Amino acid sequence: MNKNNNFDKFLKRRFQKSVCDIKNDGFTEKVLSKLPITNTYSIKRNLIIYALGILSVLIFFISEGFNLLIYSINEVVNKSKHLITPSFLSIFVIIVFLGMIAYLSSIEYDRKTI
Amino acid sequence: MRFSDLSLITLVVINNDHKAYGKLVTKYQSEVRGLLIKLTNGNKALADDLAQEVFIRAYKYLKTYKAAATFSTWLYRIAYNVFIDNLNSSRHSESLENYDHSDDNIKDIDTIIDIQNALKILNNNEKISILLHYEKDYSHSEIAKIMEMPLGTVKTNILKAKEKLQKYFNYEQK
Repeated sequence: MNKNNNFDKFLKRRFQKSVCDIKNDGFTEKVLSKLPITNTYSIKRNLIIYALGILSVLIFFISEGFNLLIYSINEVVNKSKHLITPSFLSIFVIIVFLGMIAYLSSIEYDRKTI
Repeated sequence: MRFSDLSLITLVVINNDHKAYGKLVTKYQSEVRGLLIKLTNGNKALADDLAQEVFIRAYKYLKTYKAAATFSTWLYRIAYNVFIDNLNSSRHSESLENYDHSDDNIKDIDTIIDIQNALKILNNNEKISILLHYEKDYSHSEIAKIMEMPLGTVKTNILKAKEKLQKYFNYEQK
């Protein structure tokens, strides 16, 4: 038992003595440069949001929404001058348009690239 | 010390904080690379490649780290798996005598070369078991968990390794 212990101690001494402190020499940077890139928000989700936003704008213009908007703004302004209540449709169109602007500007592209 | 590792790991897992992971890599790179240099018979280029793979795998699976063992123990387990996965590499031929040690803090190059040559007479499982036991100070049961081997197998590996090393060092029992 004692003989075994002596050899154990011998081995331990030799192995402990053979330990060296290896300098970093850019190793950490190499590892970090190879780490996978992950996004906080998925790219797909952002693409869908953008596509829907663009589509809604296109539909608005295609369905002559622009003309309708000008007419609505015109009606609201003129009737307001004379203190007359504008039509419900005009108010609705303006609200929808403002809502679209708010929606498009509220899309935050917060892509964290690590 | 262990609390600090957990804080860094939490930052990496929750925020994908590369800076925090860099601190972990810097802290453990010497140990992992040192172990792999010995396992690859002194092939520093191969050891560094394997060590990079170790840390990349550790990053990918960091969410699975359960803190039941120390982070270094978990890294050694990954290092063992990476080493085994690369056993068929043909680059296991360089000698430690060719290893440029000028940049490293080495206490005793002769002992290092002696140990390196001694390790060459062992098979891979004996090599890893002996290194984890005598250099890293792990118990047999801890080594069994790292290598995912039965305790009896680890004990047998260490016993056989010791017999071979005894002959190699010509160590006479007093």
